[in-house]
Amino acid sequence: MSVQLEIEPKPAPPAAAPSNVILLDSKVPDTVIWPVAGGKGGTGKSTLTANMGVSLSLLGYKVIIVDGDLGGADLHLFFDQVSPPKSLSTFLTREVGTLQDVLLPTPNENLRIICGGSELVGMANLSYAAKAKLIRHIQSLDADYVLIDLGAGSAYNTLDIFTLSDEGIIVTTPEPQARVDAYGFLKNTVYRKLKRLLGKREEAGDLVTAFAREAGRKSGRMEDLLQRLDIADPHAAREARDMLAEYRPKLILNRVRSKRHIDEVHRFAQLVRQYLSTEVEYVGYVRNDDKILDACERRRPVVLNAPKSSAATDLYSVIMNGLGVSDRLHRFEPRQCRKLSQVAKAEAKFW
Amino acid sequence: MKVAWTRGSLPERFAMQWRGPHPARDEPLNIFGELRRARKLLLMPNDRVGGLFLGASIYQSIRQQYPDAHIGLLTDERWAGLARQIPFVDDVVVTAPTQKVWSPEFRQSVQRLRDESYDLTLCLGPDCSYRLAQLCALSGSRLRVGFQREGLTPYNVEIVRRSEGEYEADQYQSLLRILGLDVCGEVQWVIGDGKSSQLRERYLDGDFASGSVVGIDLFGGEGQGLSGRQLDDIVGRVIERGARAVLFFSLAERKQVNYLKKTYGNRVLPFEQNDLSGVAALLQGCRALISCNTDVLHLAISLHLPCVAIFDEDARRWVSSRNDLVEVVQDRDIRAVSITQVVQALDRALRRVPAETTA
Repeated sequence: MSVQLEIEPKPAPPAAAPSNVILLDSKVPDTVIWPVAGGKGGTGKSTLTANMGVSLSLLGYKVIIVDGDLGGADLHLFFDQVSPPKSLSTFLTREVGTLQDVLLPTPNENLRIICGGSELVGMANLSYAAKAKLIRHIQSLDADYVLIDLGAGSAYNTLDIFTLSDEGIIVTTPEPQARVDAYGFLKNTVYRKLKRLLGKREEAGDLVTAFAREAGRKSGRMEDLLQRLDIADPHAAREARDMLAEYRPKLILNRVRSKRHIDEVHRFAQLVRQYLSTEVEYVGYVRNDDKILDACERRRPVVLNAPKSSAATDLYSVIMNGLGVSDRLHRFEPRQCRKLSQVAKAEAKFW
Repeated sequence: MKVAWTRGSLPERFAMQWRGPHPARDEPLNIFGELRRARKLLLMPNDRVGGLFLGASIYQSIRQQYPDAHIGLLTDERWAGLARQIPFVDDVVVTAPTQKVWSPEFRQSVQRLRDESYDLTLCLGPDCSYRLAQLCALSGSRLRVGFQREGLTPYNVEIVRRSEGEYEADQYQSLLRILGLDVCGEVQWVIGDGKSSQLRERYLDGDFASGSVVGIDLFGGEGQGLSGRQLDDIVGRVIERGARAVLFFSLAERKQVNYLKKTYGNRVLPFEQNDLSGVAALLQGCRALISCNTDVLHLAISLHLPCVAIFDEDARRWVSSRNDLVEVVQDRDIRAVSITQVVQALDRALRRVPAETTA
């Protein structure tokens, strides 16, 4: 290699010098909101919410659990909080400014809870303004996951909180009564969303209201409504179709006792697709397990009280396989989700 | 290990001789004329993340010298997010960290650099990896400047280092001075108030928000690293003194992290260091950092955080002797470093923090 060296004057310095500061900024992961509802009472919504919250925190995520069961709040009992010092009622009575102020710590630094405030008379019947404020503050909570435990039934408060996310979780049990209630709840959320979307369009809004009234008596397929909307207001019909395509509620089957129950839940999902034109995503099941009752009696989540129980391992599978949450801390693969029981066992020492 | 890193493993060297792309033959060049005319530049910092921080004043100097030129910064895809936040460069050229020199991906990287037709490539790492040196050699750049390397001639202008023990950033600056380019002062890294503070609040909440927090980097780097027992002792002592620990870890240390988490529960917060901007955000919530490798250490130094650096080699190359906030604990056998040495060094580093910062 031959390089000819020749000294020449150096290049002239520029006129304006750039600032000598490098400003670092980082991406903040989006907050995932999972309202948990189910229509019927006693399907295990609160139990699953509490246990999912603990499991997510064990995977290294910052989690906030909100007890949104406005009439019958009891989620705090899973965390051994008999009489919580702060709750939703503290927030709704304006004793504190934000929902962030009523967060209560748990022994896991990744998990915090907001207790429900059922001691307040009329809590279950929130005014429109109070509900809007609550929803706004829930949406601004800062965590990787926000889980909201909702009460039974299809009250507007419940529907509105459930539909603040397109990925709400419906918990049902294999009994026909529970499945009917779950379907009814789903149907109500779909109509509620449609009503909110098209309410301001006079003709389309009226059509949705009339159809929803009919749907209780007749088969009322959503596709029929969309076809009617196509004729009356094609733009509204397109918006409704887009909304239905984006709405992807998830379904967990709780207290499963036989394989037959799992086949039935697939039929349920098919029914929802057929009648409500909505894809409900079945994310897994949790087997019937007495360990859950034992854990409830001890006021602890089952994943900590009996980390290797069938219910706990099913729950790990629901989270890592069904809901597709990756393990940020231990890097267990979804197929290794059972290993989470070792982590839960170690965590239980601190509770 | 070190030889394979800097000179390439035997299969790598063999692969390059046998089927690798070959550099075009250099024509006689007027070096200073080429320097003056350069309009498209590529900067190659050392391919460890510390190189990105140490080279910051060089990027700024180059930008000042070439205000209208297109400046590219070649970096590993792991640090690309951080590199994109450096305002002195126009483009971040990303390479995969696992590219073998015989892989099709490496050939694609070479082709990408050749397509760009750089006028000037500055390879800043005095002992950067064989892969990076080969990329520079094959980049097709008219002028390729770098430090002289044993057994390799990837550059057509080679700078001979004064001594191996010189602080890395000073070496970069001397390279620029030899080329007749002005060197700017220190570059300051600061954390934005927006999302970084949100991230910090999200992770350093509860007791972590109020108490004293010490960052501990578990990553052992190229060398042996601290033993599990040493790390356990360090974390234990930090917690014993009423502080909490943020454990920065990579995939390789996850078992260690799990053990520490099991032992100390919610008094430790593990945080994977693949998101360096996130690490930077959390570092700002820490009072000090204890580290035995240079990755997070250089980030902490850039943020003016008191640090304890535990090294088994000459630390002068990695830590400036002018930096009062860094206490170096050095032992040829890193596993012989005692907890007392680390704690005393931590106390010394914290004592040097200006009073208003501590408050």
